Amino acid sequence: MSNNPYRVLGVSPTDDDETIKKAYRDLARKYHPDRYRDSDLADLAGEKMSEINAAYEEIMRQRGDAGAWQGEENAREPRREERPRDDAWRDRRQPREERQSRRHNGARREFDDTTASYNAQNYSPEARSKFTLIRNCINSGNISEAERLLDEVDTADRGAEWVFLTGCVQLRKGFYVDAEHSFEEAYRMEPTNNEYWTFKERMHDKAKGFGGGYETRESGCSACDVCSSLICADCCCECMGGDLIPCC
Amino acid sequence: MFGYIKVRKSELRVREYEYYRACYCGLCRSMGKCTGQCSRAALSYDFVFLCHVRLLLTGENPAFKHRRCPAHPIHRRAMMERCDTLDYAARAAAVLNYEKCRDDVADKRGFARLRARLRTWFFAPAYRRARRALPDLAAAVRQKLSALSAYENAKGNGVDEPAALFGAVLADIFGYGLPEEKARVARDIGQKTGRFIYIADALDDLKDDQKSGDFNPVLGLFGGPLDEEQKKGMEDALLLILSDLETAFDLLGEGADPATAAVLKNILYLGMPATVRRVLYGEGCRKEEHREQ
Repeated sequence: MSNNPYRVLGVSPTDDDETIKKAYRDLARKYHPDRYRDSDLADLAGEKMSEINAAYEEIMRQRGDAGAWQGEENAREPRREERPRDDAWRDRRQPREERQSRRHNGARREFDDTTASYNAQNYSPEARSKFTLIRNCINSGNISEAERLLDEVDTADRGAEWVFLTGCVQLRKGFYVDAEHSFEEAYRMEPTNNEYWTFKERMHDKAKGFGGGYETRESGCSACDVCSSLICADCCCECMGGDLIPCC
Repeated sequence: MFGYIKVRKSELRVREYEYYRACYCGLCRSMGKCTGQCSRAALSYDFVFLCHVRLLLTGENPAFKHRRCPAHPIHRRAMMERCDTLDYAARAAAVLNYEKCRDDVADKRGFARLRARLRTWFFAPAYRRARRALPDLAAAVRQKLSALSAYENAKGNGVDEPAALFGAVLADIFGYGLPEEKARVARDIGQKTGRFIYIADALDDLKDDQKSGDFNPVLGLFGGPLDEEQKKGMEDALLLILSDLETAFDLLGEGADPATAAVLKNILYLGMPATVRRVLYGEGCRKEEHREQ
């Protein structure tokens, strides 16, 4: 861990607890394992995460002592439940992030149940058992095995379910164009299946979520804007015979 | 295949823009010094991006100096002084550019092929100098690009697979010579950037390739020009690549100058999405960009 815990969190020792907590929460969100689920860099993010946790704990420990001395009440106890490891911390997020995080959590197991919703009559029994196997593989993150099994499926059985599972494998590999195309194709082949459509929608949701990371410094209104707008509105009202601000 | 990774100038702070431009000019100068004056014609924004990523990883902080240059003989411009990062990027640019020209000679027909051949002659000395300095990189790039052209010649039916092959080329270029962990981050960024560039390039060339009958992976997958729904799908796919790129960016560290990270953020969150809109919907020529703001 690098020397100064305050530097790790990007805060200054004079900041209050609220600021530090916020900085910690932002960083923990940034390096959360869910975000790096399919990344090769997951271990590096994990290191970073433990560094941040250690720094926060260190600061809270220091402040805990100082807090006792200053008579602050929030010194020692809240430390544990402050840590955004459990689901509780997610509830405080913005709706969009919430949706994403739920998606992430769900996506750790790609499918909720492995015997799926497809129209079973279309496939031979071997194919059906294979599809279940493939779903298990994808759920457990064993993508190369899933790929091998998909190749083994008989050409006659390569229906909507096969296309869909191929799409799931492509999605996990980061092959988004092909994945999108596969989901679309699967949906076209079996439009009654909700699962196929949901996956496409999920991709769309996640893509929509990108791009919030840059402040373009263009929105917002200053105190000056508020005053001048009020004065303007008052003038207009007075023109019309009414009054918005009676004192002027 | 170049010019898809740009900043949005209007959203940069003045000092960030100056940093970006100094890097651009410094790279140009390095190209002149390392690989010969001719190679300066191959300068592109993509390699300025490479410089920024590597500057952040190596923590180098080159000084600026005001200089004149052949393109701007009257006013002096701030330029980054030569450093390992800039010199490396200059050589990598010479390698990739030459390989691209060779590729064009093999793929194109008629007048375009002649033009590509002239370009290879023009850039060959630069390539030789770069190869002398980085023989293993030159070999790796050639080998990976030949895997890509083998795929293209076989007219494979996928977009992401060739994109990943091109990503592997950029992964080598981004990660070359860095220490273990940093190399992994850089390779990841290279991989994703390569995919992005490849797909954006395929979308950009869609109309031309359809007319000329050249291989285009997007055309192979969809069989014709994209309708609105398909365009939305492609937009999602590209944005998802960017959100993968974002996770790798978060591991880059701080670098010596805060402007480096700020420029990269601008590229990721504004420049690259603008490229997506441009190649898909033809939006975002300069005027429109300003109107939008």
